[in-house]
Amino acid sequence: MTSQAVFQFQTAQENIHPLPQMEQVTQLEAKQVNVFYGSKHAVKDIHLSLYKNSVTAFIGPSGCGKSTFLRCLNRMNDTIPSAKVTGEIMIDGINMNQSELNATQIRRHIGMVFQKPNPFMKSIFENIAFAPRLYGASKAECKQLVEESLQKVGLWDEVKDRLHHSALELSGGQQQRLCIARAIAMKPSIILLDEPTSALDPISTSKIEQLILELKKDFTIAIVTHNMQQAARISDYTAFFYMGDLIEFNHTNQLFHQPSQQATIDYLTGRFG
Amino acid sequence: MEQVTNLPNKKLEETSLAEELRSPAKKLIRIEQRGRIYTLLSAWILIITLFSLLFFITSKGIMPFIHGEITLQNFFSTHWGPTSAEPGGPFFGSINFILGSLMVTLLSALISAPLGIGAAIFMTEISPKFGRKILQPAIEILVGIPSVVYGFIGLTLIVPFIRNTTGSIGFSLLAGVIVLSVMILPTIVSMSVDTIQSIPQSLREGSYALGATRWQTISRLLVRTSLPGLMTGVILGMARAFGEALAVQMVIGNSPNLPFQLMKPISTLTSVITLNMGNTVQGTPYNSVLWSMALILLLMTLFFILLIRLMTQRGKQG
Repeated sequence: MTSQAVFQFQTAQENIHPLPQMEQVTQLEAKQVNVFYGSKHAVKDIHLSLYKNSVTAFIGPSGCGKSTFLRCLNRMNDTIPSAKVTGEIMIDGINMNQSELNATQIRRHIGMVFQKPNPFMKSIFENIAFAPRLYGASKAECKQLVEESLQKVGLWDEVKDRLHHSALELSGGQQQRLCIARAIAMKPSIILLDEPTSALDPISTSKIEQLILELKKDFTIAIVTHNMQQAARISDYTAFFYMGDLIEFNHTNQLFHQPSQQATIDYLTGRFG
Repeated sequence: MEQVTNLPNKKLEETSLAEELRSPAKKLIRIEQRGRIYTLLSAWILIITLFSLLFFITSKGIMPFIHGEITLQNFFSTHWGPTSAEPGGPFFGSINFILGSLMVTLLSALISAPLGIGAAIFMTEISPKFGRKILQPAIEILVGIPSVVYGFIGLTLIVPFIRNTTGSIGFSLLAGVIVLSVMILPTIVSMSVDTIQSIPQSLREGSYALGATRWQTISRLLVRTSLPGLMTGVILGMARAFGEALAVQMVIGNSPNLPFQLMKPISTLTSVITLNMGNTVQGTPYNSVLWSMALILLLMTLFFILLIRLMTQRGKQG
């Protein structure tokens, strides 16, 4: 036990990334996070923090482990039987990456939005009230939460007259904003976005980007994106992943203008990826 | 130009591509026509067969009423006595059999629907490995067992069991319901499995990400989302139960009682038809009334199909 702890400490020392100055409150801290899919080592020794009320972008070529790492942060990898996640993910002083801690309970504090909009085949209202209902919210509370959440994502005026219509009637961009509203309705502290605009047109994309900037006032946000311009536009911090390694993690400005690693320079200049 | 004419398979007179395109080879046209005629013929044979069947059963079924051999009042009464010599007879009251058919169908669906849907959820969501390896083959075997074997098992196991435990004669509505529940279970399970499996994984992930447990995801999302498909499975099962003759007839007792007591022998439309069709003379009211019952069976089946249509339509609309 102790020898293992020492070993972990040593690897932590070795694995130094240029971390941003801690001028902000840390909301979540990942230490030595590794993910294995069967025998495949998909994410290697990641050390990374999410700071309160900031947007952190994960960039990198396809298959670099950025989405896999994001899915560790709300224990979504638990749903894949072959996946094994090691390391510590500290939130509010507790390592939530322990199998004895209930993953469902953890996910109630961390919202997630997926690549493809996935509204349930229910009404707009029922989609947003889904999580509050699970937690036992009353009808009045649900009603209020639905309105609040829809207001926050700027969808209220567009749908307030058809709250009880099927959510599938909405356009792709509206559906994605609905999914964000659905995550907001459970009042999380962190929102994870897994390439939320990759299935959307440019106008819907820019609406979501504005929304993310708006949301960071209330939430801590991590976003996976394959679009470097998007990362530059909306994020405060950027983490560059390559082949399962976290190559560089820094202030977005810094990382884009003065990258310290050759791999980052190559990726940003389009030499691979 | 020369290159084209020099190609080995080209006829000499086909000198230009333009000409070739304007008059496609006769062979091509012939092949197209043959295919068209073959499929068209198949389709029409099918349609004609179906409509002649419908016409035949309908005309046979309403004939006794048109000829005045049987009155509607007589038919929709509870008094069955086709050979009765009593005043006012013979009596062709079939309401007991119609209710009998409905009752066995409803009761067996009530047993099989929750069981079948539960098993389907287990196979798809809880333990897919076990489901694929053990339950799937088991279901396929259940489908493959002929109905006479089901009836025979019911006759040898269920009827004596009911007789010994309740002291009744054993042949009963209950025995029919039990046999039919087992028979329609595979239909409900396989239909439910297909529907639940067709729900995209992204919806399950969405639900988990909102902090729903597996059971909450199943009960609040998956079951609701697949409800039209599940109902279709149940209705398909009911249609099978309603139309099943042999196995039911073997265990149900075949007495013309009203089907409101589980332990009493009753009759269904199908059991009355199969038992009596060989013993009646064509053209007599006794024979004709069997056709009227067949017509009711047909109408009920059409009703089930209509329900399934409505369900799938609703499913598509989401």
